[in-house]
Amino acid sequence: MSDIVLQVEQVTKSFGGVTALDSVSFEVRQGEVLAIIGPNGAGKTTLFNMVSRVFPVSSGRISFRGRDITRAAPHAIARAGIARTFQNLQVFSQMTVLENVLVGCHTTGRAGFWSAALRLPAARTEEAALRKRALEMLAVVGLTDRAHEQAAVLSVGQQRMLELARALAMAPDIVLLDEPAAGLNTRETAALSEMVVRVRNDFGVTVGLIEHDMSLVMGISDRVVVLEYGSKIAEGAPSEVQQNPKVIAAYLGEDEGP
Amino acid sequence: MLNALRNAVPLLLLLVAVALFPLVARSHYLQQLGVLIGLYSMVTIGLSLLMGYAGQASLGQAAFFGLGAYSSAVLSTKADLNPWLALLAGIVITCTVAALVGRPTLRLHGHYLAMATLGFGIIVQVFFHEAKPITEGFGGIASIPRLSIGGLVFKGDMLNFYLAWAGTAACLAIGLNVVESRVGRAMRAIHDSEIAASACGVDVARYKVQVFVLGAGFASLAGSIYAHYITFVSPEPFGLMFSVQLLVMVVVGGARSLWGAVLGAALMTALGQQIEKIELIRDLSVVVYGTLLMLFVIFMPDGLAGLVRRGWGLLPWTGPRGDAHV
Repeated sequence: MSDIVLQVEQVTKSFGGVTALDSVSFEVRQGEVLAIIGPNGAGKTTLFNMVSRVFPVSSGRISFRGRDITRAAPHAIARAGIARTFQNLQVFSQMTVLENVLVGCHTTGRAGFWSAALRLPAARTEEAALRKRALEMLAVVGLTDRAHEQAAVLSVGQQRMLELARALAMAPDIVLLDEPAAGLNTRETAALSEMVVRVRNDFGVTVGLIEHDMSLVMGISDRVVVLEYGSKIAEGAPSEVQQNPKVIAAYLGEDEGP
Repeated sequence: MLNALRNAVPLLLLLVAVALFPLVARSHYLQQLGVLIGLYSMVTIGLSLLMGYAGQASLGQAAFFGLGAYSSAVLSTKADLNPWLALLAGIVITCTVAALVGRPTLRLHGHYLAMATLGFGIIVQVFFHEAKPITEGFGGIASIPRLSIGGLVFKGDMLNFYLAWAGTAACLAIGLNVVESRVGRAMRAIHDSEIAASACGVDVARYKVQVFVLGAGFASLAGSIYAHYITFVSPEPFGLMFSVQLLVMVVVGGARSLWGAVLGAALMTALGQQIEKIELIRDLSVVVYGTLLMLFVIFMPDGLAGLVRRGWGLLPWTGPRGDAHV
């Protein structure tokens, strides 16, 4: 069987007359850290939004472990095993840190409306198990002592870690991290870098990573996809991509010349 | 646990209020007010779940209340159904209708539910007016049989008072259980960030429909008890104005607190009766409700419940608390 987890085939997205993504194809393989880089406005976040179905694709096909998920509902995609974090943080700000991760555990629980309404024993047992799991995830990202605080009071770096814990709580096959280092200081970025490696090595979760911090990308990714103006301009190992003239031009500007 | 404690204080206060009520309320007027507050609380608890936890407003709760009342009235007078069975049938009918209204509209983003229920409420009232073979039109349906258990007939204000508040207690228990469960957490998550909730595998539309249907069921139950208590229904009370009043009750009480829903229902029902008495402002009651709604949304968005919570937090024996909900 193939080791391709996520396959994106000729995905195009236009918002009105603007083409945000133009026939982009790539794949994410089992157990790798795949980075997606590119200048601002290259369509990186749009690409993640296509995969997690925040917006529908204009054309193209996305499949997850061979199954077509192009038109699946967002929650169904999450249930299938695709977790994500958000560039513009989306923690549940009015809920506690622990509750945020408990929402991440949502797919691992089953208690429905009536068993909850009537507080059936099965629902209570399950709730205890979910709590245990959520606390474990908080320990992984080092937020145990903040568990009962409101999520809104956390710093940006902590909120990014909280989103990661919430995503891991879903026990996903792949996690898509959208600029996890944005707004982090050097020390936090180093911790994040270690954490991403741990997610892959210890949890066996494949990682898709959008990032601007080049040293982070070059340090931890196995392969890199480069986007510019909605098109893929390069793909390969970090060292290859760094030498690619198109990539250098995209980052330094066309007029710079060699 | 913390949650149990947090609910213990308002629960105790409510029990004391219900127990002391017969000693204080001697007149038919006051006793009827007590019944109505209990019935309206059942509706506002459902509406508060919808607004505070699923982030959606409904302008159709009066119609659901009316559907319950009319189901009870029609089935127990024309079909000679046992009043309890008529009440249950009313809940089934109302919940089915709510699901039909909610399913298409709650799949859309934004406040389409408010618009859909606005239209729906008007349609239901027109139905009560025009479907004369079933509803008897403007004249309404009289001589609705009373609810009874064995030989105990729920006749008179005080028996209905206890019945209404038993219903309120049941709605509160169900509501609080849902809020503090996996399902309630999912609903609060939807309220904070729909995009992140669905990325966590929460079926946003499904939970919104479920909570909407639950609220409709609560309203129907209240409407049925109302019909068997008053023993008469006509289309007038179940219009848009009543839906707006219910909405104001929830906002005044605090949309994120089920206890606030009861508080808001009590305050606004009592106030509403006073407004009806004063000729000068009776015709302006829409303006009064509208102004109150605006003032609360602007200056006290977490309502009276928020005020109580903050006041409680200032007392010397209460410390700051982590979990910020309920």
